[in-house]
Amino acid sequence: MTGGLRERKKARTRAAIRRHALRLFRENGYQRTTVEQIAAAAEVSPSTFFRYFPTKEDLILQDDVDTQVVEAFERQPAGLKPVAAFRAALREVAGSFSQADLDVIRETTALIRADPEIRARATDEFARMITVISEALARRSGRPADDLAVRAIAGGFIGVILSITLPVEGWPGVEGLPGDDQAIIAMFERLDQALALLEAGLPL
Amino acid sequence: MTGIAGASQDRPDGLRERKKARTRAAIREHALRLFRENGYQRTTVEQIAAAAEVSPSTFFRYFPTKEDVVLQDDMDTRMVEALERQPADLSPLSAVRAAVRDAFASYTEADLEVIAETTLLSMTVPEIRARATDEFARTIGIIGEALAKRAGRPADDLAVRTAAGAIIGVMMSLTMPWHGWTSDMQTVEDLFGRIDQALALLEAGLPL
Repeated sequence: MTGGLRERKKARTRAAIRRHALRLFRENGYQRTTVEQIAAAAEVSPSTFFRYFPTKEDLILQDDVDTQVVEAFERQPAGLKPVAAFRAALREVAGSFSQADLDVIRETTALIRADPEIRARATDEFARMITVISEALARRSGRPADDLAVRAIAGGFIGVILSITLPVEGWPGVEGLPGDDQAIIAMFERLDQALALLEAGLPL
Repeated sequence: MTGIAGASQDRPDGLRERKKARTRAAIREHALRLFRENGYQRTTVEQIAAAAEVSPSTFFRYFPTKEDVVLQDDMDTRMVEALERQPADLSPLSAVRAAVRDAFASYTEADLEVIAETTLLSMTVPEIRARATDEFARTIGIIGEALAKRAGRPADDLAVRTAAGAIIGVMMSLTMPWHGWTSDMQTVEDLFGRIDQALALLEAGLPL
């Protein structure tokens, strides 16, 4: 990325805010932790907090794995078909997770499943993700971002991710939170298998 | 799963089921009318129940929250019923496409108005949008169950879940640019035409 120093500083601030927030959520509970407390712990002002995260919920929902995946997606060879390129991007990102990344994923996934307020904000986050992925696909293919095929692909990705990560009544495995690193890695492996099925036209 | 899953199975005790479906439709009809007249936020569950001549506790037996009156438009139930009627030799996606087409063909003028109204409300009222993620999860579950039955696989099979998730995902992608949505952007017919095209793309493995 260009403008490297400033971008890196911003990424560090963002990570620090999230780290302190997750610690405070662990110690005091999500509901009882205020934005003011998080900002104070991360040594930023509340208005700086809101420049990084529009709401407290977004701190959980925007876990930056999506940004990494979109960046990796843009790096894939132009000859790869969209689903294949998305799979390659996810594998690349999942293969480079640090311990800190895994901890963030584990904690944010648990909070999303447990807290209705966070899930309430998730709808807007899904809409945003579909648009972000559509824009990346549009750049790859030279088609407009609101093209039907472009939006369908982005929607297909997000739908598959939902089916793997959201609590669906009666489906085992989802109420059990990803308790350890192994479970998170297994979750990404299931996602890769699911995308392979998407690539194959969803045979049953 | 909530009450409608039960209502979708046409049991021999059809009379009771039909009565329940009528009550549900009456509650929705009065709710949508009150939302039109007084606005969504200013309409209470008590007012809806009174207009539909049921008690608030009966309301909550049909709809867990006020948002669900809008989100659970029963079109998923209609689609699942249509899906169960499709020939067994159709591929899952072909069967879903045929089911969506059959469901659309069965819509009355009143159904189309309900769909147009509930779609617009889902797009524009933050409280309803907030509940939508749980509704996506519920619908993925319902479609997954129907696909599992067709395929003779367990409902938590990865291929079943993936198909159900992708189907809901493409529908989300066509209905979800929440910002700047206006009701005249697309008719319900256009929307269903686009959904059919998107499902065809899913079946082809999402080429571009």
